[in-house]
Amino acid sequence: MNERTKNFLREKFKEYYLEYPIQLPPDFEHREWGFILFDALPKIVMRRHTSFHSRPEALEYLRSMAPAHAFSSVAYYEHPGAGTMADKNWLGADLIFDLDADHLPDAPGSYPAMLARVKSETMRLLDFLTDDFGFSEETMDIVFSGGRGYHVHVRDPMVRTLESAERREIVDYVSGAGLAIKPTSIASSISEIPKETRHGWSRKINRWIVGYLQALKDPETAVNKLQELDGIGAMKAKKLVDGGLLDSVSDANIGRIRNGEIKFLAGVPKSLWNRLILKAMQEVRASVDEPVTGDIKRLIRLPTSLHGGSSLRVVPLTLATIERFDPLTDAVVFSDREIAVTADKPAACDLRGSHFEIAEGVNTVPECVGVHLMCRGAVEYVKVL
Amino acid sequence: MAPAPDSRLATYPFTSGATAYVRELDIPLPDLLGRHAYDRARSRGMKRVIQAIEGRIERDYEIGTDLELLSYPIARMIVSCVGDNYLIRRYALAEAKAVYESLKAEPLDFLLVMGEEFGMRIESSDQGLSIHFADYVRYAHRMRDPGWKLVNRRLSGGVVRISEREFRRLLQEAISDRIRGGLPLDLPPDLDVCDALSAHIESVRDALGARKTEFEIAGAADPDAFPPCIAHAIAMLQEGVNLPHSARFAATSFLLNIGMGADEIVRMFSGSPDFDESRTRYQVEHITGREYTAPGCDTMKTYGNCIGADSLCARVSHPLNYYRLRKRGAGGGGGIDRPDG
Ligand code: SF4
Repeated sequence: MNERTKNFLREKFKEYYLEYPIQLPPDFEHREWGFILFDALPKIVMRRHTSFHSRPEALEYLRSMAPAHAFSSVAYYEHPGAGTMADKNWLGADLIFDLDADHLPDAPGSYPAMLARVKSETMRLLDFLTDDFGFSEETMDIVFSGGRGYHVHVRDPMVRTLESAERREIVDYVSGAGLAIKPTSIASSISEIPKETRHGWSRKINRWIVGYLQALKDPETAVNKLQELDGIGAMKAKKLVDGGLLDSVSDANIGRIRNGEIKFLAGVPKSLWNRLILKAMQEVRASVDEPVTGDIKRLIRLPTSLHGGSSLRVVPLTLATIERFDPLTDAVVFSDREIAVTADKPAACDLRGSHFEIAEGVNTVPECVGVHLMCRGAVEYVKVL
Repeated sequence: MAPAPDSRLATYPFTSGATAYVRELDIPLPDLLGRHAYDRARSRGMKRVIQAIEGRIERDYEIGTDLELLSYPIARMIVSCVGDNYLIRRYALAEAKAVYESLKAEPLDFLLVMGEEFGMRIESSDQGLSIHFADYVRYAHRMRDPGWKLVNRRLSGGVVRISEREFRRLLQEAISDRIRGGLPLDLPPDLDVCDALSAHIESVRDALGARKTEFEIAGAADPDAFPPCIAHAIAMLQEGVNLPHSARFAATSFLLNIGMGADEIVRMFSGSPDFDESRTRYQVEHITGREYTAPGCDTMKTYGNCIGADSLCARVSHPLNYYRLRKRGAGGGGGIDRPDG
């Protein structure tokens, strides 16, 4: 990133901070702030131990410095501006979840597919948070991170003083780590499955299994659907269906299955139930980045700021809006006015529903695309057209 | 006039009710430390600590609720004056155990009041007990049985179902936290508390010394005398290597057994570049809160943690024995050869 590009980006970010509504987190006066400015990039120099006493003071900083990255602490401190962590005096911290493509075991390669995948993880997490943990929507801030995922900030006073180890128990819960009902192997003996009436993981697993079985309506599709389970191929699937599986899991029997009973279905092999439980666990669990939740002093990206590595806005969402949120359109804040950029090597991106290919040399692109690629370090700024 | 004392106050001297009651008695500290009327409270305070060293605190209602109750703050002052990490741990543990014994006989209603004392949001209904998950994990996260893990609980709408027995266990944890909290006390500098209690403190020191010789853990920790397995584990931790739990446990319990405090241990582990203080502290404190003995050589070998055994190892079956021998050897003029120089 050359000086010219940095200057241009700084001006663009400045415009953003002047024009868009900026939200400060609750109790921002008690949080530590940290910023990474364009000046030193690509070196990451975090200016931290900053604090603000008023909203105008914070806004003034953002507008004059136009940082590439803006963070505030998840923690509340008595003296957030103190130079050492010990002097700050920790008072509590929001409960944070970070869902990021980097931490998914099997994230797809393309950026849009990856974001979609992380979103579905986020939906699962939200289900745990609202249902099992009983957090109300007002106490949660759900945001697109501006990068490759989502953040959830839980600001419920009940969880503020939880220590790291206690927060890790929450992470283990949503990710299903240490679940005792997990079969040790496909061949494990099993006399019942988790019950629908037992709250928590049992119910979630039972509901998933029942939903799955109910979808096995006709023999044709059932053979295909059964192959979604690990270790079941076409042969095994067909054998199960021919063996009367569909009758076993008919509506008449579903009630007892909800109740965890499986012994009366002598024809269904044990291994199928074990496979179903394992699959249910995979489908229910939410992969969150464990160390983030456990870190009670972490700095986290400011909602409504811009992400200097993508130029995307860190967009606040709700349970209702996240479903239809498309980061590559809805988090884009810059215009379609044309600018010229230059690239050392070809690059590509998807933005606002279009695909853009950049050739080596000078290219004309919409400003939003140019800014995005500049932030990613793929192109340098030439001029406004 | 002070309200009629309830003997429960003496059984649960750490509660806010007990503290308020003591405050109402309005006894100036110099009186408590010096006046004849409180002789028995002072000697009972000393006895509490000595009993703790010996293993078990017995209640003494003979001396009357007030004096038994007053002996609690005195015991804490004595422990603070001695200022020995091992003593603090052992004392707090013994107090908590004694309380747990009493708690076992209490009815549910009383337990619920005790829960409130610790700010637990707990409700009792026909369906049983349910507790807010935040109050639950605060204490349950330390339990080793996987049945305590939140992921294995019935959690719905933010509350966890628990049995009465489990509730007692959670209370026990809350109580040991409360008892350990604040120790050693910040004693008022203008009053020489430790001087006033010096005779009692001496007796406690003697008992402590006897206990320590019995276990031969006297004196400052001497890293040069650490057995190879422990030295190795500590070196790895300082390098930031993620050690298996069994090795971390071995190192931590070993250091505790030779009399190091949690703070010292955290400091000792803190050499690593990505040292996670809160995590380490949690692990160390988790182990500190209990009376664990470091694993013996057999166990160390089973878990692959016996690393670098030297010639002295052939003569011991426990890393603590290695340490004692070498320490004695070093003190006695290097009677034991040091193959590693
Ligand atoms: S023999 Fe015992 S003391 Fe020696 S290294 Fe092995 S475990 Fe440690």
